[in-house]
Amino acid sequence: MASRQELSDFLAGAERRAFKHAMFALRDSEAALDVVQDAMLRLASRYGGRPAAELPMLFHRILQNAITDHFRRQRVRNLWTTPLSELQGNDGSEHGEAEALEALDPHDPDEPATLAERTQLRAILEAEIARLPRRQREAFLLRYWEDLNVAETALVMGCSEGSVKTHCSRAARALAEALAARGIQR
Amino acid sequence: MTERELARIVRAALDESAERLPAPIAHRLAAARAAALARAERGDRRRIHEAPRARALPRTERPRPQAPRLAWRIAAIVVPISLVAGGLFGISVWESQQRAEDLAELDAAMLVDEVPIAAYADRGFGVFLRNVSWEESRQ
Repeated sequence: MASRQELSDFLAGAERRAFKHAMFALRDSEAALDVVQDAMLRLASRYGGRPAAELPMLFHRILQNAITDHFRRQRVRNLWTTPLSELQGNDGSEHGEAEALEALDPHDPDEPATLAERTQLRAILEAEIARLPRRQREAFLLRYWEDLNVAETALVMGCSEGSVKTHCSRAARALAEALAARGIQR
Repeated sequence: MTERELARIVRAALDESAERLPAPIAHRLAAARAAALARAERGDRRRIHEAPRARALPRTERPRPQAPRLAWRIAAIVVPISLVAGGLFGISVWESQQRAEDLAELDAAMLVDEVPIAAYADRGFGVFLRNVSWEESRQ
């Protein structure tokens, strides 16, 4: 059973990455903060007593569910609001979405060249990851950023292990091609 | 570039990016974490108070906090659907009854009429009916 300190340490280590996960999916910092807070509350209130080793998998399962819930609520809301917003005209939200991720990355113009290069690579990678289909992105990030194994990733995503491997492989190919197209090959 | 190499680059980039989140967002995440931990603490206290009482009761009488909510949710879905289905079924029965009665009335009127049924198939009789009102033809 996870102690209070273990739960606190886990959340402290996971919250920023969870926020990035939510940002990739939702592209709205306020919504991402809400979803992460919701996931943390659900984990602490319902699963706080589970063993510390189970917390990462449980947390990511809860986070993915919270993101899905957010999309469902948004779809219902859009049923009513889209006709009204169409009457008011398009405010260029697509452009705003594309900038949302960049806005999260404070850019310091005085950084040395290597840092600037890394910042640029980071921005490109984040933009390309954000462009991946949702399931591919989830599988890739859970496997290679959160270090979950194939079975755990499949459990979090609610799909087969074969699907996880397929999603990961497609995501990796898409990212490698996108980087190569921008002249980045390492 | 292999999948592993790409993953290493992505991991490094995302780790760095997560560490460089703007301060207001980091503060709000920390506040959300504190709220979650406070809730876990309250949950622990409640479990400690409730557990001995719950264990003292027989299994069938132990409180089941989720059960009524689930029952209400199911009832909230099933009852309106049943009402609508029942209403539609009632309307369809009433309509078919009404149609049968109309047809029976029409058949009876044709059978007891002085004009033979074959006359209604005659085109000339149809024209006659359109030009002469019912009252006039009876006279």
